[in-house]
Amino acid sequence: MGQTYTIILLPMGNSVRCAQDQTVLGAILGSGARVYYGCTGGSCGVCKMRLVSGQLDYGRYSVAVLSEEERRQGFFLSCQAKSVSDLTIQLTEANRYRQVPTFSIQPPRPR
Amino acid sequence: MPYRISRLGHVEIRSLDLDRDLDHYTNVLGLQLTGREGKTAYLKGWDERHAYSVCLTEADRAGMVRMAFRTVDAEDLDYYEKRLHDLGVTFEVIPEDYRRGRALRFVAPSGHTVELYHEMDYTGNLLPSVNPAPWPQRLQGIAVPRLDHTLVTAPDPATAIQFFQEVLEFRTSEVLVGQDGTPLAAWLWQRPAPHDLAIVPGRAGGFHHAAFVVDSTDALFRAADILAMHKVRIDYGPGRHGITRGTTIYFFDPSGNRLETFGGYSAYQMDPDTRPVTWTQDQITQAVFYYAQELNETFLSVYT
Repeated sequence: MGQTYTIILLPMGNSVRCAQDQTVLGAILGSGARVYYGCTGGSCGVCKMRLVSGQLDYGRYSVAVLSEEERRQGFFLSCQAKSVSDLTIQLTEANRYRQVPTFSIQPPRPR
Repeated sequence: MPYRISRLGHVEIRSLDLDRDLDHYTNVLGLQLTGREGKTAYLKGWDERHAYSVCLTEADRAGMVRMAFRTVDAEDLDYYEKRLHDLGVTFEVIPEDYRRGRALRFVAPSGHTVELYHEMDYTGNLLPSVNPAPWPQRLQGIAVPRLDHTLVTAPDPATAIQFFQEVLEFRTSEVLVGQDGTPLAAWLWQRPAPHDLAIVPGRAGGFHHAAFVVDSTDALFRAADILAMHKVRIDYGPGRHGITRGTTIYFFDPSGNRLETFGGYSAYQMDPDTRPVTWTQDQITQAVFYYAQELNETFLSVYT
């Protein structure tokens, strides 16, 4: 097992696990949630999120959708960025975070 | 009106990492690499007979650099040179480009760089020109035979559509109209196919996708299998459009440019007197995704 990191998602305050070499988007999708994302190539910009604390490897992305100024303000493209520490991320309505229904195991009925 | 443009000859697409993306274009999409010079690689489908139909150029962003249409004859290039001049369209003459002759280059009202050319090295396809087999063996990936069309975005689509209709004499196969009847989007053709170029609302110079032919429904599902085996991000499909009836898969290259495998030739052919089909905006969901009957989150809003 490689290094894993914890990503805290604000404003909900829940956390997801992020494996080494997993993108932030990959970690969120892997947790069973959905967010708004597009090309997964770092070029459409719709998966942009804001870092509150922690260290990122920003990855390769189009300078047309993430400016130096935005990067200074903490923005990153979640489809490219990878954790290099535990992170705290501020999501906004633009990220459209929601849980997706999945299988659920019901407790056995009392006889 | 004579046909003076034979097809979309080539598109130039930007790549954030050329070596990485070439693996996708040659091994997943299955284009043939026909040349590489500086930061640009030249590719084509196995059934294309000229030197290239896709230029992939490394850059700091994704998107389209230019689209180039091939004229039917050399004289048709002269015809358009005079026409651009007479209609007051600013253009420049490009004496030559990689394995290509003289071209006219101008910027359309959509913000896209457009070129017209006639001469390009004739290389033949991957089959012999005498007693050929129906298809070559040892192809890689989806192995698309050829480029089909491109779809681009324009902030004022009605003006851009009119430019291609009037200046470059594109015919219209289908049009999506707003409540007041204004064209929001149009599918424009030169070959007897549903479209060589389509224009939808969006940012100036935006690149929505380039499409490659797959010539059967079996090939379309095989393409979907190959994309999924390679964990390629699929945007939509396999599915069908209401507009053009085309069967389709949309997916993204590793730099985030949208590509399509399009079963357009199973759809219909155009005749010179075929009149446009109209779609109304209130039916846009089935016009776009005929089976799903709803739009996904990305198709109309995500492009490079």
